[in-house]
Amino acid sequence: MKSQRPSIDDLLAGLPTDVAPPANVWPAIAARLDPPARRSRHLLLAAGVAGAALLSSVLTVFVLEARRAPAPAATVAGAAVPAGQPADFGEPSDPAYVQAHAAMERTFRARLAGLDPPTRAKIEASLATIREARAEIRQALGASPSDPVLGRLLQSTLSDEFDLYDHVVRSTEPGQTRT
Amino acid sequence: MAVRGDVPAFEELYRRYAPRVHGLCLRLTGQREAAEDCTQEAFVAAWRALSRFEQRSRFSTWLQSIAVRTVLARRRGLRLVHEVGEPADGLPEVADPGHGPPPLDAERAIANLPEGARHVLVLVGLYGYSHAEAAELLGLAEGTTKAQLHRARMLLAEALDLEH
Repeated sequence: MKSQRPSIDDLLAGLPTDVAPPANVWPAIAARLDPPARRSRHLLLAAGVAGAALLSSVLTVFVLEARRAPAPAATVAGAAVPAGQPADFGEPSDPAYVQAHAAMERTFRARLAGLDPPTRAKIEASLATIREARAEIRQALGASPSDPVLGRLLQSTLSDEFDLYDHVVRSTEPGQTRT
Repeated sequence: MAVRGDVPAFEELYRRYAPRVHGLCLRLTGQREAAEDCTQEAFVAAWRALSRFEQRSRFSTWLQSIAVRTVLARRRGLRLVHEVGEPADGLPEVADPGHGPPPLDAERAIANLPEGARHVLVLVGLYGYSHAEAAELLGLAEGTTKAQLHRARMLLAEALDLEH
């Protein structure tokens, strides 16, 4: 005799495969699409306000250089590490970098303050996640200071933070349609 | 046109395929915010990889594989971060077909499955992937996906008092 209880297959067949995303997902995606024509417009705008995008480029160069640096033979700041010593995967300490980073963060904070509270909260949450991840990676590096994978992961969190700054700054440029 | 960097054309693709991608991300992650992030990341990754789309497979298949990889990559990247959030928060509420457990209970039960079992159940049981396809996407042996599917079904049956 056939059981009266529904089966797993009945259950799965009754579930929808499509679930519409919230309306705010496309604007967030659109803000990150960067075709050549749009990039040029961004650069022109950035040249006009002469600030954030330039700093972003400076930061990007630093991050890319740090990423390219062979670990653990060199630190992300570019200084050689003596053989046998753990690599320094910490944030670059070059004064130009530090200055650029601080300026970028100031711009980011100023722009963030002008956003509506839900958007601001989401961005703050993203930033907190990145920073928490970095703190945990740093902790892990304490136990394995020369682990190149952890080092790269740490650099990736630095890059993610700059990307976040950059996205906020770019998408809130004066004259830019907010997405 | 989207392949040539046309944003409106890409938006059309988004409108058409986002529900499937978001549904997949939602079931794979079991969390609303994570699913939104993964949906966003998957479309951005697809945009950047559009020029490499060779049209040997369907666009939806290609896009879904990007979504699955995005979820897995995010999971690996955030393994050191304690994710917070109510499991199954934001899962879809659909009409009760009249028998069996309410769909939301089913969604919660799926979201609460162990990750490995959930991934296989979602891909094979819900989205129709073959075991070979799921195994390739998840980086598992085909036998493992079969075992995980069996485990998922047992756990679901137990949680929802269903016929296995």
